[in-house]
Amino acid sequence: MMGVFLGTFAFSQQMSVKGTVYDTTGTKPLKNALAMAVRVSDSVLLDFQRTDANGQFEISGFDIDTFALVIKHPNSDDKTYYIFGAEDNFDITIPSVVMPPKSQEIEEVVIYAYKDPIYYKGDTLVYTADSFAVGEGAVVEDLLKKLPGVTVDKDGKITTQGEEIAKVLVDGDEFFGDDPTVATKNLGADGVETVEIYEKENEEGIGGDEEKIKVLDLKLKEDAKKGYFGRISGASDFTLTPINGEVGTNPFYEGELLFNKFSGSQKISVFALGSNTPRSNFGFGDARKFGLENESTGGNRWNPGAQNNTSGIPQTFKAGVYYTDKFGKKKQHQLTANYSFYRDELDARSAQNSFYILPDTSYITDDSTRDYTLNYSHRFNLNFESQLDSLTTLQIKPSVSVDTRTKSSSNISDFFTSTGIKTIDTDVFNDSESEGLSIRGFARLTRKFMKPRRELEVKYDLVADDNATDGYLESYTRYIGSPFANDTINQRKQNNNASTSHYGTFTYIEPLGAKLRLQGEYFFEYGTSNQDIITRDFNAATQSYSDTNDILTNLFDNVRTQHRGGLKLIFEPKKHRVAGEVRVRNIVLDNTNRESGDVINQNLTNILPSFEYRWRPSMSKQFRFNYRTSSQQPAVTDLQPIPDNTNPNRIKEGNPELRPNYMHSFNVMFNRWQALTGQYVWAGANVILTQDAFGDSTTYDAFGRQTTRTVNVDGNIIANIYSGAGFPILGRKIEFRPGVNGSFFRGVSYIDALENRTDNLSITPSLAVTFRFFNDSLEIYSENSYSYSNTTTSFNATTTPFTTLRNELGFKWRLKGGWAISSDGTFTKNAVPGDGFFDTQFFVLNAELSKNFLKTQNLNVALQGNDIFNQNVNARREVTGTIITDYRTTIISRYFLLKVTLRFNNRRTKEDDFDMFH
Amino acid sequence: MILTCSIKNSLVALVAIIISANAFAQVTEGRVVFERRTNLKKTLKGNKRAEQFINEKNKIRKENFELLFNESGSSFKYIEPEIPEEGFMKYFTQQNSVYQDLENDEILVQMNLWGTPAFMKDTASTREWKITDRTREFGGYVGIRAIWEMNDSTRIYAWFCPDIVPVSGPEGFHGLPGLILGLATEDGSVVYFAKEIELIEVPDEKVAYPKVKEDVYSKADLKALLLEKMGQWIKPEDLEGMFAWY
Repeated sequence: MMGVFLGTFAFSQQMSVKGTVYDTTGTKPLKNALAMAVRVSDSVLLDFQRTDANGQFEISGFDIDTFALVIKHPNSDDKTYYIFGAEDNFDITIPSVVMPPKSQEIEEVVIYAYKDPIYYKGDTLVYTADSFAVGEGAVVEDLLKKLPGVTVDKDGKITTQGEEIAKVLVDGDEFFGDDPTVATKNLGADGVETVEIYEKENEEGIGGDEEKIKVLDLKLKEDAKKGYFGRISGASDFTLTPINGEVGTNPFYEGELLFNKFSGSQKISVFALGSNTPRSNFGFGDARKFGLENESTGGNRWNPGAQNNTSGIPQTFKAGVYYTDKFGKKKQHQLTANYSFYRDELDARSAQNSFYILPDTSYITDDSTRDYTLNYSHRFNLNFESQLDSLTTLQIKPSVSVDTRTKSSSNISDFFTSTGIKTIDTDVFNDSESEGLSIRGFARLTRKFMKPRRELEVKYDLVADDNATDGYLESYTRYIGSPFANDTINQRKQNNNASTSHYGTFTYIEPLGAKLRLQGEYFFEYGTSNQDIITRDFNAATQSYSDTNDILTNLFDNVRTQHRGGLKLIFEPKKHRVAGEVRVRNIVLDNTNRESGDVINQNLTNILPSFEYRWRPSMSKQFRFNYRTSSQQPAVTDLQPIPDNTNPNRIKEGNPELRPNYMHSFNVMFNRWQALTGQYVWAGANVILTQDAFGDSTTYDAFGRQTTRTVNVDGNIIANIYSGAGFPILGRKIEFRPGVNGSFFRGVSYIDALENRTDNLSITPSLAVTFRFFNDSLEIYSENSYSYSNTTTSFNATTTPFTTLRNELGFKWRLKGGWAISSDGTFTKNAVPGDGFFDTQFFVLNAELSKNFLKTQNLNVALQGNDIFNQNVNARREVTGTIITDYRTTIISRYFLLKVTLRFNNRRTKEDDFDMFH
Repeated sequence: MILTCSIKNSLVALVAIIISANAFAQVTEGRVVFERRTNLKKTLKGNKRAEQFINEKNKIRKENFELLFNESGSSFKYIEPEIPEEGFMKYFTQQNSVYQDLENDEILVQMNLWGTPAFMKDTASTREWKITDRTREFGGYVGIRAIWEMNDSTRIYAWFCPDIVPVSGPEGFHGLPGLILGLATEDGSVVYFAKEIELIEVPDEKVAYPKVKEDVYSKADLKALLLEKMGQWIKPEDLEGMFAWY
């Protein structure tokens, strides 16, 4: 119902409409009826009001306009008036609005019929694209215009049988974002296989009013979705870095290639990296971007994601190919395969200075060692994942690795009494060649059920290794001021070891209510391992290794059978999670000495409880506590009753009676973050107490040479505390990050059958500061720490506390025109009372200048200087049991590189590296 | 043109008429549960780090909110799920509480900035709505679609129900002649749809402002503060978008 109203009053610039609304009988005033004014030109809501108890309303307060006055009440149909406001028609009174009775409308349904090449597939209307001729270079929109029943207007809006297409999909996915014209105007028509039109649940509420929306799905031909991107870089110092004062001796270099080609769901990546600098790995970002899931490693600030090799002089080459694709009608099967080749060479020269603190005496040894290793490795990985149905997933993931290793080491040692008198000196040389095969794999079936949160998982794991080593040992010992004749050892050692373990796990989770779940688990392990060590002495008469050395020859088998059952109750009320678990396991170990025929059986049953609690009052605050128990089995090398004289000065012997250990670990953690101020703080502690821990029982001869056997000990403790905080000020331009870490280790060992407890305490406060200026283009940072460590042993009062001070200062500045400059200097000072070569200080300065070229900025040229003052050393101190050892390893120090990097893609656009922070 | 809200099931309607002559009278107080669906693929578009974690399976986040309303005010709050959510997907959306004082045209917002509350009180914003003739039903109540052009690139759809009198809605939305039962960005990236509408009595203290110990900022002051404190993480246009909802 509609009425046109022309009023006849003047004087104001503002509209005003008054009225009284009555029900359909025209007698009873209606309360709370809605009166609203909607402008005719653009549908803008100008004003609205509800009628009062007398059915009266007044709409006012907007400029003179032409608008619809709509009166609504749930008991009636609407009543609409069109009001043409004017200078002489702005104050209107409608004395009586009588609401019309309700009526009903029935929607019309129209059905169309089609003939080939258009057909229905279920509810889907399918057009085969090749059946409709389009011109050369035509885009999808041109094709759509040819399809019967489909119209495309000048703005690119598509309708089919009068209904608007709400969404354009490409292969069922929003490949090109929300704007349908991006797909229809840019995709070539020749790339389309079929055009499908169907109705879809409006899961995203695309502004539509109906539950279902019309969707146009472009199924592309296999070759239509294609592209590639990559990065190639090379760096060299052109042998200009002086090494020992000489130029031109050895070029430093780095080179890498990363390439990814994608085509539909298929992706192929190729990578290669070669270097003789510490940079020997790809970073997390590169691994992520190029899909190299097995090449990702840790990282550092200087080169985010790249792990550095700092234990010697490395030379690295690696290359590989990754393949992934999806199959099946719904792409429900995914296959990933990769092959990688690695060649790693490491030449490590180090000097060691050890101080042995014994109950009655002490010794000093000086060692100088050189270890050269060359590894070749071929690795194959496969992963198959399949969604068998909407509730069931199957995953099979095998991997195989074939390795060969050449190792050559020399160790020249001098033994001294505590007063500095040399007693013996020894030269030990080991050379070996190894070959190994390693197989890992699992198959896992996960099943969900109609009942939410009920879950079943069945998993089978296989771990198998087979290694063979063929080595030679030559050792010379000279006794000084002693009647003993010099010792010589010349032996060939062959070591074959193989192990196979099968694990089966069955896990079932049953929800017992909205907040309670019960998890049951059964675990089975069956493993066998054997180690055959055959040692032959050199026979001077036959000039061959023909004399079997019975003491150093042994064949040993270990068989493990484990059953473990567990029940876990998980209670999750709002903001809390409490879980308790009890596992019972039985393990049977059979250790067979095939030489002697001795069999040692162990049959152990343990209860392994665990508990966890988490409280998360808000997204930025949480507290966790957990207690876990676990048990580790000894390695076969620790079990086999045979001396390992690889270093005749430090003989290791297995112990077939060694029992699995039992560990209690406690963890507590807290963190909190405040979004408004950006402040955060975290703290935590963990403690591990071990019963039947694997400890050393060591005997020393008169010169300080040792024989060590692994035994079960009680009382080992590992404890750590950590805490830190961040305080940004001046809108995050400056941020302070203080922190404190502490640790306490207690290790129990036996020295000549006497129990010894070694306590190692260390504490490290730290403070870092970051300054950010000029829209974050300049970042200055400083990280500082000071650590104090002290070791005490139960049978010797001598303590040797030592400290390490570390100060780092650096900056990174991105300038206009693609220039960037950065530098980073670290000062390290180790201090021990007295002397010793751990007591040292050095300053490492790095710097880099780089510039981007090309319109896309994809070409980068950088000049890098690493350790410009040539001071870097690797100095560390290890305290194990009663031995304090200081190490110094020769590592790469100063080198310069000129590096050229080109990034590229098939679109010829700017190609960015993966960036964690933007 | 049927623009009236009506109860879907005519049998229920008939029974209702027999029981009470006021059955069709407009609703002035009650409780609405909204389901919010956020399409993270769209809301996080361009955020490379976050995009890494979004796939076809987890791109739609569903969350529930409760709107209590009467003629003097309304309160809009996040409903914690019965089963606490695992993982970090929940950090990709914000859950704010909003109190609308319908008598004084004022609004109090408790922004939940990743766990830290920040309070803002200001006069209710006025928006220019365009009324369309398209409707959508929410649990038996028909909502009429209105459109607000937030800026050049974003249009917000709101479905208001003339049968529910209070001029309120989810988040900071209001200003339509009836309670807003549906709210959506035009691209479908964020959608609020009423899934339960309960006609219950709502006393004033349920919709009154909560007692606030923390500082309460004006809209302009909080916006300026956030721009200063979080400017490096949030793009100014995203911050502008965040405040446009209140």
